[in-house]
Amino acid sequence: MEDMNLNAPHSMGTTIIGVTYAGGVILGADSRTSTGMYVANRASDKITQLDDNIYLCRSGSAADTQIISDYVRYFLHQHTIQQGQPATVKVASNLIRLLSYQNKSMLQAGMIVGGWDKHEGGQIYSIPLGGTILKQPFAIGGSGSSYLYGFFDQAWKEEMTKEEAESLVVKAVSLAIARDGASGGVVRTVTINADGVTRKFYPGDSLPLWHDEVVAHNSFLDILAGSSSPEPMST
Amino acid sequence: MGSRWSPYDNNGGTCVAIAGANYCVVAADTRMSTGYSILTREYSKTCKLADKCVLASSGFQADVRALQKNLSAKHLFYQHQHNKQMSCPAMGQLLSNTLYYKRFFPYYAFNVLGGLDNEGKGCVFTYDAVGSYERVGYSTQGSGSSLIMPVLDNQLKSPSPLLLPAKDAITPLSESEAVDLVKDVFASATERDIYTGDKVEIVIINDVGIRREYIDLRKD
Repeated sequence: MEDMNLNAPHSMGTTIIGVTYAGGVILGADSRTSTGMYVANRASDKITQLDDNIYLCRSGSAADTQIISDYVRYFLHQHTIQQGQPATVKVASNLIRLLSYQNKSMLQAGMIVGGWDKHEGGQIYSIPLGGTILKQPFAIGGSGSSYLYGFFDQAWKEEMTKEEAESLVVKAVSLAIARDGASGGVVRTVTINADGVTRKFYPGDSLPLWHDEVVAHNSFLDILAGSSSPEPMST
Repeated sequence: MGSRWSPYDNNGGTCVAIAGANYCVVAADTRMSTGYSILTREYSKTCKLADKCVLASSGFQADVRALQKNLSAKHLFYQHQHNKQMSCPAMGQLLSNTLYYKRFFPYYAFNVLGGLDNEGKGCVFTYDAVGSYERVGYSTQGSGSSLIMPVLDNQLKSPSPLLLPAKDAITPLSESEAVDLVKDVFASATERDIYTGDKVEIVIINDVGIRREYIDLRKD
């Protein structure tokens, strides 16, 4: 019944993406967390930090992926102390993979690890349900990714510039949001390269419109209230 | 044929929490139901876990009670070991860990945790049944949550949760404005949700301490 749906564990029907470009990687995601048909969080942050130079895109069960990322953040911190140097993206990805594979019957977690280290540069590792690990030039995941396989076949190329890669990621997530009911909200991106990490966010109304989508306009309530539309976007 | 015995029941009810600059409001209705029947009109769903930290939970009250007992016991240990009360963010992590511990036979409890953080600012944490959680400026859980949440989104004029990092996800409303808003949303939810009503218990946490208000709601 509808009541059951509201109380289901939060799952991130989602779109997550990771791409490599000439100097590093760009991770992208939507911001919708749904439980059944209710949007539990319209502004979630699915791109989580594992280390200074390594981030994780999470899809599947919110609780499972939060716990996995907490454990791996803790392991990486210890590893850095023991090694005396920053952890590599490969190590972080394999720690995620070990937890995912060894607990495969109990977890529901589809993840993409992305980062930059001085040995191998920018890398993307995909770790879907079951705990396979695959190093790829780009990776897509979540329920919205179904709509992106053909798009990437056509639009992907090696050695893009940062700007080309960023606009590819944003375009892809916005295409998936347009078609997948379980993806929505805003597009968040994280760019990681030798110079560090940059976070960006693209509000829903800044995204291009696709087939049959209508232009967003202010709520009638705002227009009725007249003057100042409530400032939703300032800190 | 058809209905198997279930270890769970849903006793209904709605919880809300709102964080302010120097206060936190945590509220829940006092109706306890099962199916179409009312078990009692005077049941408290809130629990003070620490000096500046209050938990409100809807769902299966037997599991809620067990969870409250579990957390209070752990808090007592913490006080013995550290010689101080747990902060609200610390209790937030403890609750998440406690819920995830029973990942494969969950507490059927839908929680909002509210209180003051180490700087004296309001903080609210919202959870699912298996422990995924997040610090937010406001939240609601329970049978009336889908009725109330859009109203809070509209009224609370908090900094948008869409920005990152969401540092101060705290409403600019004053304490009395926030309490009035809580009364209004419960009154509205009571109209449209059969499991919400009777009374609303409002717990207000600020630097002075903790106080409670009870407001009557429709009893039908």
